Amino acid sequence: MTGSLLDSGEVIFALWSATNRVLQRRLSSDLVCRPSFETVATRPPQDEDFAGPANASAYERRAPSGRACILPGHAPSDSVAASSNIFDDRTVPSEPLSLPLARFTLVEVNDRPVAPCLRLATSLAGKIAADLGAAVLKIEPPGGDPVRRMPPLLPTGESALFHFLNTSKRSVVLDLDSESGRASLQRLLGKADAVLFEEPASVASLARTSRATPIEIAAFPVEMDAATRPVSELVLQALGGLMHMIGEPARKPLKLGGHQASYAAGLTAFTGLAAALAAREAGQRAPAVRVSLAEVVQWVNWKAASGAAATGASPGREGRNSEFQVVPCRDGHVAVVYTLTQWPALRRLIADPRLEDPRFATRAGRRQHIAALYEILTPWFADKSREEIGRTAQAKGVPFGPIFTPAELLANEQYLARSFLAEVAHPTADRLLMPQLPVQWNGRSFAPRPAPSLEQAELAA
Amino acid sequence: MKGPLNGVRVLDFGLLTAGANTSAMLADLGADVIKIESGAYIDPFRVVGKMDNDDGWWNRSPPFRFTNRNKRGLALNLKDPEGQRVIRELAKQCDVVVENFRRGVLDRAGLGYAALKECNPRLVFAAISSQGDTGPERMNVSFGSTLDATSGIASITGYEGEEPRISGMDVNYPDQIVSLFATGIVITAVMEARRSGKGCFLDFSQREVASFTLGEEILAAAADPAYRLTPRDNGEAGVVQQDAYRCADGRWIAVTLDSADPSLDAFCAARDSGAAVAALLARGIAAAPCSDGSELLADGALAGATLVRDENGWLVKGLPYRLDGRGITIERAAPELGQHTDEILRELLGYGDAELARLKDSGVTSTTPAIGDV
Repeated sequence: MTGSLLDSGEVIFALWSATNRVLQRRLSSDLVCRPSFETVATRPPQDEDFAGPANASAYERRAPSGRACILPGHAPSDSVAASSNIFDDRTVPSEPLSLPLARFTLVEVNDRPVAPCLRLATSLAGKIAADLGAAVLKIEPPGGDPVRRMPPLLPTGESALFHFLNTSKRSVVLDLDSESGRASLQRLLGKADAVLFEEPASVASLARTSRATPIEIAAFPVEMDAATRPVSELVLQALGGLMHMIGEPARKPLKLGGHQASYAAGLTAFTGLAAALAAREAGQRAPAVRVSLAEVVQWVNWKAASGAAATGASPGREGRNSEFQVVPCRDGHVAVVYTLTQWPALRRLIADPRLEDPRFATRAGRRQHIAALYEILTPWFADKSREEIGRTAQAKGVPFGPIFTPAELLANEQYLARSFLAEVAHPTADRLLMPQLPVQWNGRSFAPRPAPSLEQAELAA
Repeated sequence: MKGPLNGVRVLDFGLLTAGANTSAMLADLGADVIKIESGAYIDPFRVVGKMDNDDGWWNRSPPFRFTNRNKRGLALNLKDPEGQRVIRELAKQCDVVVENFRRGVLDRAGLGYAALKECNPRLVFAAISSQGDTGPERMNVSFGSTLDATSGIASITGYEGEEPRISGMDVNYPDQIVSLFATGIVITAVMEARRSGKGCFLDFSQREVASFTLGEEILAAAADPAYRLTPRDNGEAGVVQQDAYRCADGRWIAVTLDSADPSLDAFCAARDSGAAVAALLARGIAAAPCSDGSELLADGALAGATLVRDENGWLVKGLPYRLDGRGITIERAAPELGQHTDEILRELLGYGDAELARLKDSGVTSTTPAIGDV
C-alpha cells in the first residue's frame, strides 16, 4: 500500500512535469484559446498624446489580449490559454516565448482545516507565481479545498473566490493524514523549489526540512506563540488596528471590504517567495519565509503606530470630522480627496466665494471648521454625475474619487483600454471577466489560465 | 547588508508610500538604494510629517523616516540639464529604477524608460502610477483614498444601508498594498535581467492593484448582474455572525462566531474587553480587541517584525515578513536631504572635489529645500 502510493507520488510528479512541459510548449507557440473564446475586443486606437517610453521601437505596447479560459470542468486541457508573449522583442520574432517564473516548480499545500483567511493568502501568493509561469501544484485535502465552496458563488454554484485564487495551477488530492499521503508529498517537495503552506500544519516539519524553500503563512507573529488561537479575518483586521481607523468615532469600527488582510498577506508572501527564489538562483542559501496576517495588517496600518509615537495619541477613525469625506452626488457618491498643495485648485473648482474665508486658509483651520467647510462643498456635488465630477476635478488637478462598484468597473473605459479584465470562457454565461495581474511587462499582461477542477485533482490522485 | 538582492543598485525616484516604500523593501533585501530628490522637489513626506519650523525640519519627519530607512540620499536638480546628465551616468551603474511621478514627468526630463534604456539595456524600470502608463485616464492624479473610491473597495466598505467609506488619509490603503506587490514583480524582473541581460518596463497601475484585491467580486458581478454590491458592514458572505461589540470598559472587540448567538451583545456589554476576549477564546471563538496605535506600540509581541528602531533610536517601519525567522536591523537611518550626494558621485562616477564644487555652486546639488510646502 505504502509502496504503491510512494510510486503514485512519482507518477504525480511525472504527470505534472510532463503537463507543464506541454504547457510551456503551448505558450511558446503562442497558441491561444479555441477560436470561440477569442471574442476579445481589440485595443482602441492609442491615445494621440502618448508620450511615454512606449513608442513602438522602444518596446511593444500590449497586444490585444486578455484572453483566458476558465472552468476547466468544461474546458479540457487543450484549451489552456496562451498568455501574452511577454518577453518577445518583435524585432527578433524567433526568440522563444517564456514566462518569467517558468523554470520554477512550487508546491502549495492546503492542509487539514485551517482558518480560511490563511488559505486565501497562500492561494493568492501561489496564483501570482502561477500566472507568472511557475509550475504550481496545489495539494488539496480529500473532498477538495474548502474554498471551492466559499462565496461569492457563480450562478453555476461554483466558487468565484476559488476560481480567482487558483488560476494557472494544477491540483492533486492527497490525504496528508495518511503516512502514504505524506510520503507522496515528501517526494514532490524533493523536486520543488519552494513550498507554500499554512500554520498550523501537520506537515510543517516535512516542509521545513525539504529541498524546497518553505514559505509559511500564519495568523500571528511567532512572538505571540498563538498557533492554535482561534482566528478570523475580521479579528486580524481588528487586532492589527485597521478597524480602529474606519467608521464614525462614536460608532463601531469597521473592516475594509473584501478580504484585505488575506490578500495583503498573499501579496507579501509572493514578494517573500520571489526574494527566496532570487537567493536560490544567485547561489545563496534561500531564507525561509514566514508571513503572518497580523504583522501584515500592522505594517499596512503603520501610520497608526507612527502617529502614536510622534504625538503620544493614536490616530483613529474620524468619520464626519475627517478632511476626506464621502459626499452624495446625482448618481452615487464621490470621495473628496486633496493634498495641501491642491487646496487652491479645489477652491477654483468649486468656485464658491465662501471658501475664501480665512477660517479655511490653513489646514488646521479647515480641520477646525470641517462641518462648515462641507456645508459649502456638498451642494456642488448634488446635481452632478460621478463621471462629470471626476472629469472636471481631474482637469483642475484635483484627485476626487468617484465611487464605483466592481460591477461598474466591468465597463470602465480605462480598464477596457488596458484589457485589465481578462475574458473567461463559460458554457452558459455570456461574458465573465476577472482581473489579470496588475502589471504590464514591456506592455504585455499575464492572462490567467483556468483553475483546476476537483475532478482533475481527484483523477491526478 | 547580506540579502538576496546584494549587488543590485536602485535609482529611487519614489515618493510618499507607493514608490518610496517599494524601493525601501528592495533595500531591506540587500539592494543599494539611492534616493533621488532635489532642493526644488523634496519627497512630500518630508513636509506632510513636518514637526517644527526650525532649520533642518525637512530631516525630522516621522513618515519620511519610517519609509526611507536603509537608503542613501542624493539631491540633484532634475530640471537642470547637468542634473539630467548625472542621472543618465548613474543609470549606467544601476539595475533598477523605481518612480511614481505623474506620467510624462521623467520623459520630459529626458529620464524616461526610452532614454535610460539607451544608457543601460539591463535596466528594470518600475513605473508606479495612479492609472498605469496607457489608457484615457493615464494622466489622472490620485492620492491614497482616491483609489479606495475608484477601485471598488469603498463601494463594499461601510455601515449597513449607509454610504460607502474610504480608508482615509491616516491609512491610504491602496498606497500600502501596491508596494507589497510591486516589490515581488521587480525581484522577478531582476532575476530575468540577470539571466538574459535584458531589462524591462514594468507598468503598475495602483488602481488595478486595488481592484485586483476584489477579483472574486468582479468575477461574481460579471456572472450575475443581480449580485449585491453595497457596503457590507462587518459581515462576510458565508460567515454566520461577526461584528464589533462594545464592552463594559467602552472598548470594542471583534468576534466571529460559527453559529449565531443573539446574546453576544449582552455578553460583551457585561464584561471588560480583556475578560470578554479571554472568555471567548477559551470557548474556541475568534475574538480580539480593536487595537489603536498606542496599543500596537506597547505590544512588542504583536508588533513582531513590523516596527524597529534606527541608529538614532527613532521608530521606523520594519518588515511585513520574516526571513529565517528574523526581522531587520536598520543599517542606516533615512537620509537627510542630499546627505550622500558627494559620496555617491565620487564612488560611482569618480567625481573629484572640483567637479563636486562646481555642481554645488551651480545649484545642481543641494542640501536644503527651495520650498516650504508641497
